[in-house]
Amino acid sequence: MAEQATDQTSGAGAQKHPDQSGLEAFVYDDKIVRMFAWATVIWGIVAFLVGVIIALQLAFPQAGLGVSFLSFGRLRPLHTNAAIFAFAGNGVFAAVYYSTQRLCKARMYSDLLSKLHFWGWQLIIVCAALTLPLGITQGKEYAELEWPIDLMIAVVWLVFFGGNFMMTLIHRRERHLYVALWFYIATIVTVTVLHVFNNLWVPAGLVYLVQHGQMPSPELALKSYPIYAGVQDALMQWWYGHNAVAFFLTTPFLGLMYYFLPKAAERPVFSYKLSIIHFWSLVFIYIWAGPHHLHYTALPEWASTVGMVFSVMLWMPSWGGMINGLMTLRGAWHRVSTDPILKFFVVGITFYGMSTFEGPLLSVKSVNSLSHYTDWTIAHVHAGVLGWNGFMTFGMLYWMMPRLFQTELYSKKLCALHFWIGTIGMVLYVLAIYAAGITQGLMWRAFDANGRLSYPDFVETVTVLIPMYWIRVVGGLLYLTGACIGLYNMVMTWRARPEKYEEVVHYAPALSKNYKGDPPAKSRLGANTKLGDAGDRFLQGNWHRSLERKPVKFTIWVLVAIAIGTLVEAIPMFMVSSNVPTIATVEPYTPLELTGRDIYISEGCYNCHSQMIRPFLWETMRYGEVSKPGEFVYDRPFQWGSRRIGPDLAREGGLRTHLWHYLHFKNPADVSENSIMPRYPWLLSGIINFDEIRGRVDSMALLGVPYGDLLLDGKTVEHAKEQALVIALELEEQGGPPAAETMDKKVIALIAYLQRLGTDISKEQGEAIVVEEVGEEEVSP
Amino acid sequence: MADHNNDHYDELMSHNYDGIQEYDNPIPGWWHMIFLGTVVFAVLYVVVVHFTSIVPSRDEAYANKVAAAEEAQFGKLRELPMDETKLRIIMGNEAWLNTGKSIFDGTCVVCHGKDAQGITGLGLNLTDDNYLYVKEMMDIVDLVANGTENKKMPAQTKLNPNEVAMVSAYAASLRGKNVPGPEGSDAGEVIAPFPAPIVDENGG
Repeated sequence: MAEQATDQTSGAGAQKHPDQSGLEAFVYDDKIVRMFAWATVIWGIVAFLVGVIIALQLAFPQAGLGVSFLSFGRLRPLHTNAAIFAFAGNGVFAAVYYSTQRLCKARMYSDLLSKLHFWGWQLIIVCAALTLPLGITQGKEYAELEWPIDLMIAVVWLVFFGGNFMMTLIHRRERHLYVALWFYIATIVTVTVLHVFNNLWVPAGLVYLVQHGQMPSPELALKSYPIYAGVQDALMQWWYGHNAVAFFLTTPFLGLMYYFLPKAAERPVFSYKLSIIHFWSLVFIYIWAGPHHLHYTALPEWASTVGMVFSVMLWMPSWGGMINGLMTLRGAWHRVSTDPILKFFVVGITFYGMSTFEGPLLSVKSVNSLSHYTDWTIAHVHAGVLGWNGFMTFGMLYWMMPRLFQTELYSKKLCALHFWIGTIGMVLYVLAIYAAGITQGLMWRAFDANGRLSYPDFVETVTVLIPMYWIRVVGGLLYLTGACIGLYNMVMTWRARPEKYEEVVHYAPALSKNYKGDPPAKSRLGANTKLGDAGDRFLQGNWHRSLERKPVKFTIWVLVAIAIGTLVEAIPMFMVSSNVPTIATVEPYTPLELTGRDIYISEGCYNCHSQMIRPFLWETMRYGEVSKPGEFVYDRPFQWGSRRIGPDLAREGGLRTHLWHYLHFKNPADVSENSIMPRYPWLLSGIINFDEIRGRVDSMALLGVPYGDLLLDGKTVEHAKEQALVIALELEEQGGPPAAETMDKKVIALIAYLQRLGTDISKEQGEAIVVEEVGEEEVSP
Repeated sequence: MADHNNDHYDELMSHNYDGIQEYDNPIPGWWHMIFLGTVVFAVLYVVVVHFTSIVPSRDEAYANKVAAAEEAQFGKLRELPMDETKLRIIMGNEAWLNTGKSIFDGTCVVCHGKDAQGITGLGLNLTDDNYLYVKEMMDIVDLVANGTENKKMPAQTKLNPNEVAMVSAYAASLRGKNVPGPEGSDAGEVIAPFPAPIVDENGG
């Protein structure tokens, strides 16, 4: 019987073995794993539930109830953030904390850091859950969280998590780092780099406070503008967005797989060599692939090509993980039929294989021209997250439950039920949404015999999807039900735990300082040339063995690997002006339009509307002239979008009357019978904070936007009020409510922005947006 | 599999991590071949697309499509001056009228309704004999191209002149269908009938 170890036992200051043999005693910290495991399941259920709610809103728009914090545009980011950072994130942490300690033969470096990491991360999630439904967002997909939360993420991730993890590696008692740890290193390093460089901003509230000495409202205090604009912002965002998939949803889960799959299957890993080559090729190539999210947009064609060819080359590096996973099951396949844990893993890895084949396929420009902006992308990511991330996580949790709670799993039958119900839900979801995506993509590009659009009315291409959207709701509900069964099973297992968890003490010697290294490899060639022999020795991989002994060096090489692709894509985009040719007539947004734009971002309009007309006939016939890079130089953040649940808005300006927009926001179905857009009654009653527009405009000026005289004292507010009045009067003339009622409402700012969209290129040069002087007396009471 | 004959197949490596062992198996040959294939494809793609003129660039490809589509959609129509005759010729040609309907569905229905019956507060009924801003057929063209002075109807700047002609002719052709509209959508007064369509027996 092992002795009870004290809580102070840690990797750093371990006790000696009583027989003085030089062995150190240590106890693994499973409490932190239990905490992350609970968080995984609970946040997972929240993420799936929000997913079902917004899926229902697409099938049945009235489900939004006309309530601001339930609207699709605000809840969709909550769903994605919860699924990625709360569910998958906590799952990853549970995996890392469980496996790293065992792979290093060491307790986590610091229990305090572990706890700070756990509670810090949960605090971030709670902040996300509070701010996103309130419309507090940066407006960049999967990077929606506003600047104070960004700072928290940076500290919790890099200092608490990264620091704790690296120090554990340094104080390990296992000489070599196992492949799972390589993937964890890549995750920690790259997510830090991605997060920091995609979240560089100017906080508008601080600017307001400093320049005007007034305390900003919470709304302005939490608002920030990115330092990048337009095309450059798009490049940075999708460099981030794609690699969030790579380094938050792929690499840590490969690490998870490399630990928990051989454990559960009790089989050796298929090929060590494959691990090495697919790890490094994956890490090096993945980072280049981001621009494939921007095919045929205003991004220069060269960048688009780079994104595409690297995505195609990524196919085999990704599949290396699948091969190593599935081939590890050789000799254990007979157990898959009886062991639901292995079932979860097999389906998870299979979905990984499908998604990582589909990814390169979707990155091919011609395929992308069909799939982009449709549900095809949505189906793709759900195959990835529900199948790969979800099932790997659940498989891991079921494997850990008896070990963490030191008792039998409550019910293997319920575990199998979870597997089947989840699988059926997932298949229903993805099949329906693939069908929806391809249907809509084909309808958008269909021409009739006269060479005109077969479906010119956008709404037609949406109503046809509704049956598929209902199937998605059912699929999502099934997946959610599966997760609830999982939670029940976990609770029941936990209830059967022993009174006090046994803390097993392990013994291992500390790493000696004078390790000589493995004997050098012998060339198998017996060649006469030194070069040939050296080449063969390299191929045998001994150089990598030595790298596996040096975590810091390993980390630096990972950093180098991801830096290359990043710099090759980013530097030309920022340094070479021909990538964004200037358009003389494109001018900054007026203060009111800027305010309206911030409302557009806040409401998450970009979740359903793109602002990017691609160079295709079917696209320009529907939306107007192709979007140009120079049109977006004042767009902070860019709002090109990634999905058209509603039509593109890049050239919305002037197409419809103010009154149309007003009535449309009031109730879309009144003017567009089958529209699935939610109602926005709160925009009709919400008041513009005119005074704080100064904070918005000043922040933009700080970023180099030429506002000139408008920055002079009082001019900003005056200009905004005048423009609002002009629009309100026009609205009244068109048959809308009296100007006095609408002139200070948010909807007016939003209309100002929408009416400006895409109009600058058709302006005569020097024809600035002139706001007519209108006296107060003209306002009807 | 041939690999199984290899003596080195499924040879365990010496290390062991928390009970996990690894085989020293070679990477499957097909993995190498496909990986190499994708690299070759990448190089060829870059060279062919960006350094030769075999494949037109993104912008060239689009320009070609636009030119071809102009011809297909408008054909002879492009040579006709914008006048009442042009509209009457369109009205007499089923294909052009259908094009007009397609443009109408993509542009006008948001205010005038799916059946041009009008929407309260937004667009008037276009199927009755009452007109508010139109005295003769060419006024429709002016409305579409420039909007109304009171901004109740915006100028449709997205449309090119031939599209304007087609959608105007289509709108004119709706007169007399008398789809019941909401209250107030019949504003304006009865105007003289539009001139009859010109049917070209030889096609458009």
